[in-house]
Amino acid sequence: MAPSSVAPPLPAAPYEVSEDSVDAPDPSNGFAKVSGFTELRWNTRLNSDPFQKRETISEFRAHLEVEGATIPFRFAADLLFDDIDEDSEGEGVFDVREASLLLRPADNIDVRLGRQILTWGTGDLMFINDVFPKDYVSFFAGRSDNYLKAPADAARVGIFTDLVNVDFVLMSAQSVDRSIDGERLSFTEPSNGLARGRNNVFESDAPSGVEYALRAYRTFGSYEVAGYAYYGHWKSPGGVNAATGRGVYPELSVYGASVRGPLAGGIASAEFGIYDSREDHNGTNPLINNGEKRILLGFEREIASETTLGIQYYLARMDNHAAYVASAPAGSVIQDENRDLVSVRLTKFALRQTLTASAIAFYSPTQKDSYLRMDVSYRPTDSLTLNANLGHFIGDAHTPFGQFETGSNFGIGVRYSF
Amino acid sequence: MIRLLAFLLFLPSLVFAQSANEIAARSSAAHYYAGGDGRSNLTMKISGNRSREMVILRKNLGQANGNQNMYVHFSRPADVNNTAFLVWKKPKSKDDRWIYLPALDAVRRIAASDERTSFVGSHFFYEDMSGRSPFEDKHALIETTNDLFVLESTPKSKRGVEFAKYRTYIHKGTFLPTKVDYYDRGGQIYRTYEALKVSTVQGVPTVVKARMSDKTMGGSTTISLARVRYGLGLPKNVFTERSLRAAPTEHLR
Repeated sequence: MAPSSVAPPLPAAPYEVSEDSVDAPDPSNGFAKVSGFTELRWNTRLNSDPFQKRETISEFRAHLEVEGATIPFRFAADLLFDDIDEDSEGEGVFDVREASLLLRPADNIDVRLGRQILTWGTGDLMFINDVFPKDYVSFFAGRSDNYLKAPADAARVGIFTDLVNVDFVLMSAQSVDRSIDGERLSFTEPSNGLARGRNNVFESDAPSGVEYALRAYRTFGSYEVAGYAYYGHWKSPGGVNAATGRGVYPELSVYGASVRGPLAGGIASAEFGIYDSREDHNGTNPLINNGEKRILLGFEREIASETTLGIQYYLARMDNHAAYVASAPAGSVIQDENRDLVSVRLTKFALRQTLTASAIAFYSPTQKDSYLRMDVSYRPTDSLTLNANLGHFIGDAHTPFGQFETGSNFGIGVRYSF
Repeated sequence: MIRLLAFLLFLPSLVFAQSANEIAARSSAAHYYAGGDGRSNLTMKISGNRSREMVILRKNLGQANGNQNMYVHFSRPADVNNTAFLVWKKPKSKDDRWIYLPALDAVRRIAASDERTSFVGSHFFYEDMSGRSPFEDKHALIETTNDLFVLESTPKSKRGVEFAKYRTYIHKGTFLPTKVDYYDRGGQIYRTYEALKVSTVQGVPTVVKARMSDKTMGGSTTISLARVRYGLGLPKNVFTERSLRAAPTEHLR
């Protein structure tokens, strides 16, 4: 009955068994932990633009992060030597991205005070209930996806209970999007059809005051459900001052909800939001954005080993479109009632995840414009990342993506992390 | 009398035949579910001079080999510092997984259902970190020595597995696997897990150093555990979105 030995030679001694507990000195640094990177990045236009430099990005960046151990602070800043930015003229720009303190006034309350990045919502590069500042300039000019979010000066209070969790944010109204103004990417000003470029940058004035954002969320089994409310301003210029022609940020409220969870072997999400442009309820003010309703559906699934496919459908429907058309001044670019987008993203990891390739294509069935974004990163060592990226705009001149056709760019970057 | 003797002679083999599954279950429990909950600092050295450092928190939600929550907080290399990973492991259905990207303050849901892909670029799969359910395979006890049980396991479903079978050498005293050899469809060993060092922490035998070698990937990854603790009484709410955005430092120290 004894089984014959089928195994290859067994391990001589099973292994070293010791009785001691495993105690090593606490590896966390004494006062603070420092990390960061230096990066060289260069993106060039695919088509020429008489109102712009050839490059959309030409810079050396040093990023530093300091995280406190005993005192829970976080500080992150970039020192930028930028060949494109006329203002700095190569002297270097200091951009504080994070400067915050994390407090825990009670067991179930987290408060983060100061400059910080804030994100919520379910989309992939698309946002409905996340009305926190974005950096569209960096994103479309060719910087890494990490720079899509711009910092906000805010207080974030998180209250966590078994019944529901609540995120309450007070944000400075001065924390607006870093929106495209013509400096790197030429565009058409919608309210008057004026071409904006490096020689006539679109200037705007951010409002002062405090804005409020709220999220109530919890999971039901595997499904994450959230309700949102925002009371503040449009974060990109949503209107123009009639007298000065400078951009303004009209008042905005957003109410919405989202759900995300497993479906058909992948993850599905749905989000909607009601945009109430408070200063122009009727849509009759041509200098202020109308309100709109937005919906975003997403689905992501692994389709092969280390390969993921994501698809999204987005629709923004303007309120009071007839009133908007009737009151639109001559020369303005008339927006369609519906702005829709379909996106497809493919991501692949290879070489033990040292190689990452991702491509996302956005296409509008209504406006027929599109944006393709591709990114390939290779990490020959843990510290070094080599990157190649592409951003390509296609469409008629008066479409949201098409207007940036001269901004289509291809770039490379080298990053050293420490 | 002869019948009684014959019965007694055959009894051990009857007992063994039933307990291949028991041995597999006990081994999985000893390796992945010990101590109710726990924490450890984990360092990975991946061939090609790469390394990863993280802290792992685990909590069993019920019995051994059942649902379990896991939270991983990365500190090295620099570009994954403060990246965090959350798993709600459910052997009887699909796991829920999230990743947090600090630069974007983004809590992303992971769609990937394939558990046999590289965990953070190492030779260990997600399934190796979280534990393969003993119910997913058929087990047979093919050999017993003074120190070891040798189990041969074949998958009940070929979906999502690249191996044809694997052999586990389980230490009789601790029920920890000392070695696991994975065989491809040609009968060749292409992947091997070896426990290199076991320590007893708070009375719990723990693999504190192990290596995974993989011929298809090339090279190997060695993991080392430090500052292992059990029975922390980790509350269930540690394993939520809150910990992704703000690391639970009191448990990570």
